[in-house]
Amino acid sequence: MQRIAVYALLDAQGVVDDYVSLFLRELKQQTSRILVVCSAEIAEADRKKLEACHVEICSTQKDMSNLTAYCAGILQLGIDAISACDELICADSTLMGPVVPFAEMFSAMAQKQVDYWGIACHYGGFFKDISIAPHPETSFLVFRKTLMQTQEFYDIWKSFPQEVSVETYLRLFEGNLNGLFGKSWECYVNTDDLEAFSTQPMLFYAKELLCNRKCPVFLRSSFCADYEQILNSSLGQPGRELYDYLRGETTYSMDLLWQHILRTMHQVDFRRNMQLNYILPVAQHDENLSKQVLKNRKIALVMHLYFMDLLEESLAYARSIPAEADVYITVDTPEKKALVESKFKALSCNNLYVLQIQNRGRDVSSLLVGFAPYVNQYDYVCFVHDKKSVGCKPASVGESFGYACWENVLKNKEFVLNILNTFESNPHMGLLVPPPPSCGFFFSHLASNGWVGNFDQTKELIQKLNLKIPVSEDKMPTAPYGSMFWFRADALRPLFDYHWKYEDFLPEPNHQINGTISHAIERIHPFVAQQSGYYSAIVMSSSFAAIQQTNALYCVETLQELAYRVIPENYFLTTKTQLHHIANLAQGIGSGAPSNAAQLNFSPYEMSRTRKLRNKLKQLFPKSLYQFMMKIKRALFGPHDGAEI
Amino acid sequence: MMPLLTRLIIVCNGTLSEEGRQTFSQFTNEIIVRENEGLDAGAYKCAIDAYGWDELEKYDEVVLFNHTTFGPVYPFSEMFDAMGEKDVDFWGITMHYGSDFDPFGTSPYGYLPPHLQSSFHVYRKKFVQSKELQDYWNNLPEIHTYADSVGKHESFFTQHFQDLGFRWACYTDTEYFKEYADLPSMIYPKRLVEELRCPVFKRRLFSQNYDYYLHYTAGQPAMELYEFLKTETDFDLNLIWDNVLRTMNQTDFARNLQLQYMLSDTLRLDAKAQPVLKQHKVALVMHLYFMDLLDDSYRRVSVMPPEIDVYITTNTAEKKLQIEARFSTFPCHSLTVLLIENRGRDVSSLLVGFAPYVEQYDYVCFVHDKKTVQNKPASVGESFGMLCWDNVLQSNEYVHNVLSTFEDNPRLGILVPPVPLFGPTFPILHWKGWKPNFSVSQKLAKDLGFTVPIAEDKMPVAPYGTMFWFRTKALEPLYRHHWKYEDFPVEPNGLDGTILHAIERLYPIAAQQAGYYPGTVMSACQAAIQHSNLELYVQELSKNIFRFVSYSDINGTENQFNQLVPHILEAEATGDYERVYNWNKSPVQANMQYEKSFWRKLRNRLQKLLPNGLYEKIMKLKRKLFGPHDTDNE
Repeated sequence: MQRIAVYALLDAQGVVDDYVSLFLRELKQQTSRILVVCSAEIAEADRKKLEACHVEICSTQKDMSNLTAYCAGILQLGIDAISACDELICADSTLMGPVVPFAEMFSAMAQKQVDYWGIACHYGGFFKDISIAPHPETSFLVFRKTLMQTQEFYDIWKSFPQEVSVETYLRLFEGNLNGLFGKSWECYVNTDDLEAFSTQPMLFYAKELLCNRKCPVFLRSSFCADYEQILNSSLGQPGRELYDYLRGETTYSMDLLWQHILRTMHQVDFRRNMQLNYILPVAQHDENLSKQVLKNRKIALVMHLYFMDLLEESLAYARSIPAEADVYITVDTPEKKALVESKFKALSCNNLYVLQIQNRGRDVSSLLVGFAPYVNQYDYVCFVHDKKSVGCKPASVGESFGYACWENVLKNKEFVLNILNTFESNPHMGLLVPPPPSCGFFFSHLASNGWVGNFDQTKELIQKLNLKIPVSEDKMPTAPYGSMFWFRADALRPLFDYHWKYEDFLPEPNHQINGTISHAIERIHPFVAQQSGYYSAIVMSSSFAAIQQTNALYCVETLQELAYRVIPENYFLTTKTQLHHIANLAQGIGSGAPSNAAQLNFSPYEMSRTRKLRNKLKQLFPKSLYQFMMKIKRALFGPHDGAEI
Repeated sequence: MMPLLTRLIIVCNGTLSEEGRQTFSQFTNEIIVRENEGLDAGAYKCAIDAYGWDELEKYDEVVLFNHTTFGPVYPFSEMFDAMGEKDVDFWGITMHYGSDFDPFGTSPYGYLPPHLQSSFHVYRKKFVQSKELQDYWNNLPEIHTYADSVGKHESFFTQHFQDLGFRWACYTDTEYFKEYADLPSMIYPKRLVEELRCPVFKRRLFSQNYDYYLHYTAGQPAMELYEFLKTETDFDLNLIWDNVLRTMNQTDFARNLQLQYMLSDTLRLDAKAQPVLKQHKVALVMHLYFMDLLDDSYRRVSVMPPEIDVYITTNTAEKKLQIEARFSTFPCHSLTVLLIENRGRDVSSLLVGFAPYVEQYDYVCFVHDKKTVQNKPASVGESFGMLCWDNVLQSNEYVHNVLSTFEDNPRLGILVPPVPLFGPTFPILHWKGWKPNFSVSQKLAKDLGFTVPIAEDKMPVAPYGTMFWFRTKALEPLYRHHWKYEDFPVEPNGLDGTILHAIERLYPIAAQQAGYYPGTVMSACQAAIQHSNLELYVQELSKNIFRFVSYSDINGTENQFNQLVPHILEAEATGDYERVYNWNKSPVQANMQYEKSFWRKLRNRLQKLLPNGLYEKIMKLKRKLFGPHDTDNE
């Protein structure tokens, strides 16, 4: 069969990831020509990658849909070239695969008498008022000669608008595929029995399609889907099931998968869709794997110790580290050094180094300056510090935050071995962090997506470090809130390569509870790891996971109760949307509401007179004078008691 | 205590059961049963009156203690020996560090001064002989409520007698914890017992509302203490359970004790698993109805270890044949397929079909083929099924871990999957799991003679979806009823409100009645999903709630929003949303902001720094000049 193909490379940056190359090479075996339509300028290196796949390349305007790209491609190829073929394939880069060669699919479909065909069915439904009939997913369409030989086929494409809104797109195309191209179509994967289960089996039943129905491809959006939508009709398992299947049961390269995910997706999206939360046992471990890891990998524990009254506790948690590990402890005075050395003599480890560092930058300089000369010797590193957020009132909240960090990083020996084994069996994992804190005032931090006023500072640092990964104030980073975590040394190398100096950090006494370089660095870790090709995940000891689950359930129950006092009970997504709507009205966003209401959404401090006064003073006075005044204020009244993170 | 006492009077507020009286009579025959008035202070006064001061003055020490603590973890003699060294007039075991306002509005001080907790006071001879103490008790103000007892007695006593020049001491030296928590015995119970050798711990640790813990902690206090007692002491945990299970609601103690088990699906708690199957008999009971799911059901239960017995119930002879054929080579110790009536579904399968065999077993896993057809899209029902199956029979290793968990926790009676919380089931927490099945459940509980607490606003730890593990002894109160098919409604059944739905919710209540606690069980991979989901819910809901109210902890958020609710409802009715906005400037809100304000902090600091008299003078002057603060508590 003579075939020709148009491939829509829908990438805002015009990057050709390796999964695209694989897809094109595999597709090329079924077709004589492939024309790649790019949605952005592509760099020379990427062009070379495409050329290596023996495809032709044409560029078109930005922000195109797969449809406008197909259109451009078809017009570029021309009537003559197309009508000479038996099949015209239109595919786009939202598909990944194939996990099995395309040949089987093409030969199976060759038996079918249809005008056009696709891989899997989308069962349509309603979008606003648009009724969408069942149709093949448009990410892969194959048109037959019967269509291509008609003038109408070309007229459709010629008259196709170049700029389309989602709505027009649906009205014209997805909602009207049958109207456009006739009713004679079929899909390779039979999903008749799944229609009652989901309108989009390719998203919700990806694993089932691959595993039991010979589907060769899957959607990239399986890993960055709108998780709230996923939860509307499932438990949240589709992305994870697909990932486990690809990993365990196919030969599809995980390198291809992660390369694309890490370059283009937000951490919180793929963490949730792929369920990158590790709940690890505290009483048992895989002894064979542990032995292997301890033999082959170099492990370090880095501790910054400041509070000598917490030494006993710090030592107790340090004992969770295997005896094969090296331990580095940083302190800020010679007296503490002596104290720590005598106390930690009792710790069984490979080497113990107590380093005296400058009292500037606290735990952050401990790791990035103090430990920097040694980091390259190690494979896996655990960083912790003695945490006493005395700024929190009551102080038990700060102490509990510390508890939550320790318990999820150094719970006990078995747990630590499980962490090491998890790094070993997940070569793309770079960072393991405790869950965001939920005790006391910290409960409110999730509402700011974990940024807590540190977005701008972090963004600046991201630019300074030249990180190209996606970052947004609306998306929560998988960051080690509390600065205790495990990392693969390789994943944070670019951060260490920045060669931090003590002078980069604020001098002590430093009472700023937010917005400092240290807070930016706390949040930068997962972005650095992502840039280096590693994902970040949340880790919990099974014992702490029980607490976490109680807390979260209690909070959800309470929030539900509040919401359902003002709106009717409903699905989560509807609940959220309705609450959002009322908040908009109350804030004057929307009709008939007060115009000055937009200031409703602030914490007391953000909007307080004191804060406003502070900002004004900061503007008016020279920096040194301002800082002097703040020092006096703090000496008199103590630090602001907002929570420290 | 008895070795340390010469004479004991026990005062019981309310009624005393015959069994209770017998227990008490081992220690004393001086037992007073009085009306339930005056809380502990009323009872203490009653005892004092019964002795008379002349009698009390004869003793070296008079101890006033009550039933609100568990213990002793260490012999009381250790504490009495240590305190014998101290030259004081009175002493206690634990401190409350007070608060700078009076939450109850009953304290004569207008705030709560630091004080010895009234659950254990010891008066020295000289103190007992003093006119001041005798006057205090003789003229004790009327106490009707908890607020009275704290404001007028517990928090008042220590400061009052200190001001009168009496010296006191606290056995558990909690000065270090003072800046961490006003009530160390609630927030740091484990460290008090472990590090400070505090012999007792509070009963309220297990029944406390969870928002209290989330205000101060990550939720760990009661669990930490329990783990410590379990692994490091020989304290008999049954003493805790006997009381907790009889008197407390399972929602509360399940949260406070973190009764959730996150079990590995790949790694076995090996050392213990094998003996479980050697020493105990385990059964799988499965109700099968949908023959199109037969393969799926087979696959799911094939993770079971081959040592177990399998019982399958079904409702027609044809299905029975089909099942027998499919399971003919199923690796198990014995297979029994039972034909049951098509009445009562999975409940009659377990409570009627399996009833003749239940006594042979120690642990049972109950499952059924689940096809929740009432939800569209069907992926919802399928996901619900996954939630049940994955958390009950995730893998062979997981099953071993479930059995080990029962074995490790002898008072654990039933393990259930977490509640479904996605798609249309999302508001289940708001329904507290009951709705609309509370009254039918309550009635059934009463009919069955259950006496443990249940409440419409507290969610039972129930197996929604009816797949779970249980210790057979724990469901004895249900089996005792000898259920018949006729007890259940005929098909087709209602979607809610039937006796079947009541029983589904009473499984954990029955376990509690039998003296066992319920727990939630999750496989690690399901726990990962659960974490994503709950995190998202908290994040997105709180984000929107915080558009109405100030950032706070969960409790503060709740309090603020609740005050806003009438305004929102009114706004929704009238379309006038301005009032919601304006509420933000109302006195209530201003008061909350005042709590954290610069002025409040300045005031507190002055209060600390300046001598009491001077501070009071300054405040008076301030009020004269600027008028009283309009939300001031003083």
